[in-house]
Amino acid sequence: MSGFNKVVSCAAIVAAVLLMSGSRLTGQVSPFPEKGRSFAVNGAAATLPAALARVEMMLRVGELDIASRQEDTMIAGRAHERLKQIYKGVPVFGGEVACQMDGRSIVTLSGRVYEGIDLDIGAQISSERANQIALAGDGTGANVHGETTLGILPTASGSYRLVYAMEVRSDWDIRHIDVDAKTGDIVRRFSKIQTSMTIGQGTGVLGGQRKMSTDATSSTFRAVDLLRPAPAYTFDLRGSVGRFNSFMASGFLFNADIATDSDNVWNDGPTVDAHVYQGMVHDYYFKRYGRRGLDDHNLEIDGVVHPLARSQANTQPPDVVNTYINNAFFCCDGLMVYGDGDGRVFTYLAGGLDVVAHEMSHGVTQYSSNLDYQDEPGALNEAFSDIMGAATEFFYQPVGTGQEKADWLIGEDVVIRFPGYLRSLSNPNAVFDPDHYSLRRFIGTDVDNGGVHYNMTIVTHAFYLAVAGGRNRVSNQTVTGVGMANIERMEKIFYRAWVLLMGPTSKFTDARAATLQAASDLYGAGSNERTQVAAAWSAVGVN
Amino acid sequence: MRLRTSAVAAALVVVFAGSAAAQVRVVQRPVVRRPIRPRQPRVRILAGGGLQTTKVAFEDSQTFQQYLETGSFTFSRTIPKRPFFDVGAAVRVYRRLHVGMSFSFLNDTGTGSLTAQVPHPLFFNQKRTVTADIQNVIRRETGEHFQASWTTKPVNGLEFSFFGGPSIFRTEQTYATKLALGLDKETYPFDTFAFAGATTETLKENITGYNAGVDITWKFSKHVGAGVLIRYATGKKMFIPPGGAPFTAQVGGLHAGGGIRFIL
Repeated sequence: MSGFNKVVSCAAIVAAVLLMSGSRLTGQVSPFPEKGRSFAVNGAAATLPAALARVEMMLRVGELDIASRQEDTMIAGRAHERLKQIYKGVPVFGGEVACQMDGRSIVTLSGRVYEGIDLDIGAQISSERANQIALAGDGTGANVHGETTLGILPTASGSYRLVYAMEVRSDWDIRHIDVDAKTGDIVRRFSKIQTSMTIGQGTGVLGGQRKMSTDATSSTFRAVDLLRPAPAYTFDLRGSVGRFNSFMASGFLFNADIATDSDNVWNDGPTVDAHVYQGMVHDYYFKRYGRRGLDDHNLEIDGVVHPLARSQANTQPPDVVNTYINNAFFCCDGLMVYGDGDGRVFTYLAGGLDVVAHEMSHGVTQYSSNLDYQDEPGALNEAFSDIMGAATEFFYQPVGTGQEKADWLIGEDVVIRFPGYLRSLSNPNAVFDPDHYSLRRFIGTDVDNGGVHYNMTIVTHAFYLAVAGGRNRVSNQTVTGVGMANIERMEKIFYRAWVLLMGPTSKFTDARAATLQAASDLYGAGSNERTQVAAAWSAVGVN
Repeated sequence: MRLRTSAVAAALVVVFAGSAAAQVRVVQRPVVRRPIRPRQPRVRILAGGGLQTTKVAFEDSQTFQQYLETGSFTFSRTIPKRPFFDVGAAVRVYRRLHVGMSFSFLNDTGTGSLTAQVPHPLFFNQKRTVTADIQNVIRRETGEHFQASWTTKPVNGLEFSFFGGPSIFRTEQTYATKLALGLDKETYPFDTFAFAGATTETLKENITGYNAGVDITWKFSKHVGAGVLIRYATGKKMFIPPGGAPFTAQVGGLHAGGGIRFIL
């Protein structure tokens, strides 16, 4: 079927559904538009009229077009279409809606389109001139490879720029470059360098021996993983305050920042673990769920280690220490930063597989449900990351206690000080985190964005009960659970709910509904899995 | 009446006989003659063929370094029961003792089986097992069988020749030298390894062994007969491929066949 026919078909389906009373589709326009300009389209069966109407309108006027169609690897008969956004005939880079189809019916919509675009798409410079500008700054022997594409680039500030996007190849690099089509400024530039892939050996933070996917240049080995479909780079800022400040101000990372080693036997534990664990988490999502990278399109993964040196924990203000030394965080667009730890409370944060999985799962959330990072949606955002963090450990590591063992604790490999971990899924109350909905706190306050790191354990404890079973301390309700042997089933239920069925403003009750729906989708409405999910949510007081 | 006639005939024979002896009256000295032995053939030639009735297993195990670990593979092939061709000659050296030599030819080309443990490119201790067939695996054996044989007296035209002696097998054997490996041959997520080929070489070696057996010949004319051969000929040797791990090759087996015999 041609793309044109597909669009007509999709539009027809949307229109038909809208005409029915009690529409099958649901959705919400995000009340918290990202950076003021984007419009999140999310929702599952039963409520999504606003988003649906918007998508229908955009399909009709040609602002959305089908970019790809992918069969569902988890549910037979389903497929996922990607609709890409177009503005006045030129692509809007990053504007995309994922449409889950069941046969000819639309089950869910999710994604992001950009609104408020008011640009004259008349370029002030020609594509040839843009090519010249790109080549001028890219060394001798450079040339533009492939087509130069005129499109709309949303910027971090919420504005839009008309740019020429191109790939520039030189003797030493392959770069993607965006040149402003009106001013001729280079708006964005990043390397897509392709070098020879090698396998290096590294020693992790805790002494574990790892294989590393690296690449070899003429003079050194680099922490560049081109072996996996999603390219991954690990950058070492070497604890340089100056470099770190520059990075924070500009957001730019350069080839010179990529971690290197002279003999491919790597001894910097944080570099090794960040690089290896990021690849493992990527693989976990692929093997477990068929997901291709954080955005399901093999988005580049960038990890940053040694943002500030451990020694600076004594000189930097507490908020800096707590953010950039005793912390790991997902920044945006596939960028993770792993602090060095102060050596007293934390060791190197990259040394925890669950920590890395947690941060990368924020990326998955960003490109799927895009849960708002505030109040209950924010707690769900954090909870998904912890659930995936624990699940990744169970996927790779032997079950047990101690270092590099799979357990229900988060951060046990990187926390030095008592109790030796950050959070517990099995017993949140052990570190005074809530294990029942009645104990939620900080909602609507500025504290921790409405308690996102606090209230999350209500949800993660529900996941634990649904898997391992047990009695909730507060409600005294007992859940049988599906058993550790079937943890994969519960992982898929929660993944499906979070990634495909929930939206930016989902609350705990929505998460309950979404997981029940996911359990029904995957294992049947009368399945034990669905029963255990319901019992787990009830046990933690989410009804 | 009949009895009387017979008695008369008998009396006449006795009378005539006594008359002849009386007429010659030659007295000869008795001569003691040694019994005349029939002339023994000096050369025996055989030609024929048959079946090597034993299967011979061949196995070549190699290790290799890949992705920071040691991998391994085993290449094996069972040479099936195969026909062989045989020619030989023997010369009588003393009474019924012969010395001679025969040649057997065996040629078999078939499919070998390879099982490999290939390290995972990204994880230690997660080797992937791959199996594959490799075509055109050659086994050629030219056996040179040196023999001393003892041939029994013919009984009802049948002769049994029992023989034994050393053998030399000029042997050609195809073996796997290395697998086609490399990141360019891997497919994400790398949990399985798709066989991408193997390099093979054919090594030539001389293997020393022995042979023993019996040849049963039925002469249907003075110089030609048909024979049945039962021979066990075998040898074993360590092959040392250049740059690879040694492996043992066993050759020969039980030969059962027959053919034409010339006894001159």
